[in-house]
Amino acid sequence: MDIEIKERVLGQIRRVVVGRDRESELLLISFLAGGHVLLEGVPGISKTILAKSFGRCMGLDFKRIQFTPDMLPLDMIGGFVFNTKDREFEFRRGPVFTNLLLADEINRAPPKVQSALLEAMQERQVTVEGLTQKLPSPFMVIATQNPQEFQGVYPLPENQLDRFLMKVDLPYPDQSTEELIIRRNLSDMDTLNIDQVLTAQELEKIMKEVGEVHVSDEIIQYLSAIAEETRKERRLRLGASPRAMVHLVHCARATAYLRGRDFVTPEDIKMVSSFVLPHRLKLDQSAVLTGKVAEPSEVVQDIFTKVRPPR
Amino acid sequence: MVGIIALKRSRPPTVLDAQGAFQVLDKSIVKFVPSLSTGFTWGEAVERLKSHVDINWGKMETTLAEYEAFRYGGRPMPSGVDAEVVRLAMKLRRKIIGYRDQGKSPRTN
Repeated sequence: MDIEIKERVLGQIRRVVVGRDRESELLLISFLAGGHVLLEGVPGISKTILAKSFGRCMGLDFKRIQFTPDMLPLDMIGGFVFNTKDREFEFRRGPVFTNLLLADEINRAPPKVQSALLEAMQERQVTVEGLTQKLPSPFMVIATQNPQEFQGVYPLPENQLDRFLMKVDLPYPDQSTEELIIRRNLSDMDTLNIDQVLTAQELEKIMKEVGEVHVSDEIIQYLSAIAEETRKERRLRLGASPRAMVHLVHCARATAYLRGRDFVTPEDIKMVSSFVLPHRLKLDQSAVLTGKVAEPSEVVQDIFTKVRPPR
Repeated sequence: MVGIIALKRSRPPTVLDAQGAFQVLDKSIVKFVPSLSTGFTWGEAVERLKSHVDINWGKMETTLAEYEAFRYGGRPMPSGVDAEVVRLAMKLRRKIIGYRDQGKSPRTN
């Protein structure tokens, strides 16, 4: 178990990105848990540079796709092109063939493109005209969306949101952080300033160790009690899926590992729950209209105060 | 009646092992710190009480880490009963703390 890894990664990201330690840590947790992240925030709050910096310090191949309404699945996954030299069709890989893919403004792409990406996220492979191609490993998608856009967008449906391990909201920075951002950007800021802190072998070893973090039977019972509560909750129309709970335990394992432990505690589960659960829950509209609840995160918080963890 | 309750609270509980000590502490927290919800974790309890109760918190945290390794990590139970855990439980019982809980339990008012 290595507490230093987090500091090594965060230290490098801090060289370029200001005031995003929490988000950087969550990206690292998701990566170690083998999942994908949806970053939500208005434009210009360092979503892209955060993803780029993360990829660079982890030594990952990075690609970015700017999603637009006229995009086709082939623009992302690639397709067959005619090679005039060999007089044969050959598969040309699209930008999805990378380790870290930044899917910028995912909600601007039509559902066909979204589902093609989400299939790649789930299966870690793509199939074009019967030819199946494995994606590189590790493979992580960091998708972004702007919550303020309502026109010309295709909101992700519940089943697709469920595929994201975490949804992280990026708020505006506070005043002192903003001052620091402006001051730092007076000179050139480049992700080239970031050094790779982990080798491919180290990453492989770490991910193996994360997979060995112990989860006790009582912790599993605690998780299932949480899931049950979300399904019984009257303020929710849709509770947590079994996949949500699987994602939650994977995140808790990565959190425990980064805290230098080889076992999961209820603390780890609580810490990640507000990023893993809310985007999968659907509020009951009558509860919203009667003012009983405004955000799914409130319900998650209430459930965690109600359910007794093993102590 | 008041005297009996005071006597009962001042008597240290009979604790046989580390798990028993933490069970006593759990009960004391539930009873005397009602603002900590049912779903509290050990980390949250320590965070809440740290600045209000005068015990050796460094030792307490080490003991808690060992207990958590036993409770959630399948390690052997720490040998013996740590005095700080019992002391904290006793201080909560006797309300010898600089902490005024805002909960609604009549015992703390």
